[in-house]
Amino acid sequence: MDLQQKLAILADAAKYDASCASSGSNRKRPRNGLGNGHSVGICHSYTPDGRCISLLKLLLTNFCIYDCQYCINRASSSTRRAAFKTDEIVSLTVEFYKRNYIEGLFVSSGIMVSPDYTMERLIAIAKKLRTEHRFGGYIHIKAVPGASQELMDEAGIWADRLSANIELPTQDDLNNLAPEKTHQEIEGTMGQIRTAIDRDKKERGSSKHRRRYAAGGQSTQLIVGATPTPDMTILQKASDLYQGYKLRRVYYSAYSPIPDMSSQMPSTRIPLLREHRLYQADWLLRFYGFTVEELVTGQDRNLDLKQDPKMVWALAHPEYFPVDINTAPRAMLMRVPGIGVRNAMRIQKIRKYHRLRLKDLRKLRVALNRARRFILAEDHWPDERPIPVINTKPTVDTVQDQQLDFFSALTGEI
Amino acid sequence: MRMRYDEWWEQAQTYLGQNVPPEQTAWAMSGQPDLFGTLAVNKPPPVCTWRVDPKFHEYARAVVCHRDPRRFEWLYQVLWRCTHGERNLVHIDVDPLMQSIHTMRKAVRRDLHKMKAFVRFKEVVVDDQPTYVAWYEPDHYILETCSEFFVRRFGQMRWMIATPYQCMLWDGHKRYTSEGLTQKPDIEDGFDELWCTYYQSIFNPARVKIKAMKNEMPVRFWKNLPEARLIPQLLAQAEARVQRMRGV
Repeated sequence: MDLQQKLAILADAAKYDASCASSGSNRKRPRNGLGNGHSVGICHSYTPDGRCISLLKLLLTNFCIYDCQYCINRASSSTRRAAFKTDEIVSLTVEFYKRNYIEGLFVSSGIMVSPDYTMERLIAIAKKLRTEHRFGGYIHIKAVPGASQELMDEAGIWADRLSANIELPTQDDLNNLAPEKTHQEIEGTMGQIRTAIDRDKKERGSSKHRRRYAAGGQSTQLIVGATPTPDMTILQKASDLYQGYKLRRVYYSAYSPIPDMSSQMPSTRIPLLREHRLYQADWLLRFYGFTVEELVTGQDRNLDLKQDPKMVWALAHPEYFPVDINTAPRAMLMRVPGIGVRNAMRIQKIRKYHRLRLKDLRKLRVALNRARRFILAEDHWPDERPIPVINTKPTVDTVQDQQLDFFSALTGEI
Repeated sequence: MRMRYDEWWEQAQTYLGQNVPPEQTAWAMSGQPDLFGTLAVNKPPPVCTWRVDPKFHEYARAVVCHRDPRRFEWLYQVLWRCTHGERNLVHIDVDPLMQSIHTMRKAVRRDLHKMKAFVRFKEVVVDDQPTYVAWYEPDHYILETCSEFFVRRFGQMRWMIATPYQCMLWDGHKRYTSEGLTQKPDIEDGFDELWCTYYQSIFNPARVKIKAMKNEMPVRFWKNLPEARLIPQLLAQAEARVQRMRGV
């Protein structure tokens, strides 16, 4: 089999890993070496699925001893198999990088023989790139659950990022679809990586010269919609992982059919919108100070597909609004639909010199169609505006002030 | 019409020293560099005798790269107002003048970002040495600024980036500039085929999102990206591939 055929098979097999992040690693080019780490990742191309290509994403091999039902590379699948030699991956990475196609390499693998055996081979690729080619670009290695602490300690020396995939949101889901895997073992690996990162930070102290262990941190991925598990459980799991192992990212991958599917798997794809809502909620959990309980309130314990989770929360909580753009603390500004972290900061900065009006917000590209009804500005009081009535008539005590009236009209509550 | 930031700043300082109001200024363009002349990049910045917020310099450095001929005068307007009673102007993003500045700055920043992403080097032999050559058409005059990125990343390689308005050669030690090329150089690289194999294999036909792709990789860039010629056929085959997976 020639290199091109291997590349076709082993890139195809790698595309179900969503992560393509290449940021967070600010490394200078090694002396006489090739490439550096850019603190802001660069997406070198985009495929028609809207995903970016930042890294050369490959499997070392798609031979696998496990039989996870959702995976195209499971032992019982009839997919074509191939395996790269270490040098082939190394050379593809270097040559692609020199042509400015990529930021670096993301290498994963089917499980050969044992977790340790597989992990050793992944590490060998990264080590060769760093030592023989003085490669300074980004390297993401898949952490194989069940591999030893020593191997995990070494992996992070060469790699910018490590990731052990949690695969499915609950142990029951795993029992059904991936009987060889357990959350306990996967989280054990996450724990090993976190330990190594913490130790590295402590040992490094203020010295800049020591090598940084996995400077891009660790991430994970789970498949959404292959099992009936609701968003509430998924986000709760994500939230626990963020806290427990200081993950940089949790990736949610909407289940979509794969070639030669197992009969246990659903044959329809789930709406990509659900994946999108999960990412929105994930963002709100990490950067906006929301909790899972605030975001998922529906009876079916899923996020609302029709509206974004921040809007859903705001409509359900008229007591927090309107928010005065010219005085409110940043945490409250960020809770207004249509105002993001960055604009909340800009508003804070500008209002020191200048009282903000609606037209100012428009210039900052605040999404006024969403924000308008939730804010007060120098020239804007929501009750002066026509009240958009949603589905239901307001039924409010006349004693209550008009703003409450306004919001109850929006939410249809009370 | 191009002018480097240090040239603009020197002239602006002169005007400011003579108390010339913005409407009376005229901005001449810089002399074109000689054929493969060394780039005067490491010139120390002129001593600043005017107290201007550091933010201004940060913005101005980007804005001078913009294509809009009014940029020099607009920058001078900001400088004028900053030194005539509106010290905090650069922080007031909603001022109409600052708005124009930010719009230009963002356009330049985006252009820089896209250039870092979409330059495609091809390996050829020039003067008996392997040289990585790229053709790129930026929207603004960003080659000099952007070349700092390529020097940091590919410093040990010999490379050349050609644009319609300027070319730059890096020989491993220094940058040299020359006039732009009138058309795309005709060069091939064997690795483009492997790259295209990768591109089509990493695409998931079950998740087509054309708008998301075009937002991030606007169609005007496609002509210089080897992989982009595959897009029509990948889209045409996508639905049939998904149906096959579902066993329909």
